[in-house]
Amino acid sequence: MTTYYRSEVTSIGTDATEMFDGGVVIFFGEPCPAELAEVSVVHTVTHHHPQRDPQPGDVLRVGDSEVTITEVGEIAANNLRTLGHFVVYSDPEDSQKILPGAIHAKGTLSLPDAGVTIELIEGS
Amino acid sequence: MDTGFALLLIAALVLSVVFSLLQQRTYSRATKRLGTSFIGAKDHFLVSGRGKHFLRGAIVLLVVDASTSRIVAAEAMVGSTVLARFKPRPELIGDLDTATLRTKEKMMTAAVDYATKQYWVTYKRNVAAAARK
Repeated sequence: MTTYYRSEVTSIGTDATEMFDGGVVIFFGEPCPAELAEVSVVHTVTHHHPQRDPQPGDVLRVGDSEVTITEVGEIAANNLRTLGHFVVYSDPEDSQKILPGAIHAKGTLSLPDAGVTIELIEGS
Repeated sequence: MDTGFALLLIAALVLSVVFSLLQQRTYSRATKRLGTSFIGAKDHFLVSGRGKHFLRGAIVLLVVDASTSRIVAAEAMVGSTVLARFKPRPELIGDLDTATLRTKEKMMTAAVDYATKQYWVTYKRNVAAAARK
């Protein structure tokens, strides 16, 4: 199991908690405008494999919690590379069509603290 | 005036302010969630509209792909309670021009109609801004 993406949480927006409760987590890399930082988990990238992008079956680990990716939106990989940005929808309904910048996942993430590591790990 | 009635009236007013603030937060979070899920997608617009019917209301959020004039994502919050949430409305996905025909409730029709008008105003503004460059 290889980690192809690693970053560190720098801040959690005041409204991010309510997003978490609704099963949605918005990630943004530094620098992030204030109005988006309010609802997001802001992080700073430390490692990104030059060729590996998120795929179904991969694991997203945030601190002690982890989810398995089930679907990746068509521009999510590019957004991750350029902006450190992706939106995780936990256990979406089957009828929910994936949005271009979204990542659907099985499982639920718990709210991280600043300093926690975010990892994307190749599925086995 | 009866003191009891006055207190009840004040309580009702305070509650209504709290409810509208909570609904505003729900709206703001939904627009940010939907908006950020389309960051990086070219020529996409997020518009909203509102329809009212007695005490109930509907708010829709539509993402329109300007290159095809099609609705590519749609969510709505319908109801009168503070517990109302935005939920996907897959029936609205498709041609923007005919979106109002795909609604089943009057207030949803009004909300989609409002959002459609907002889309065309935004679109024209964008075209005008591009022409000035």
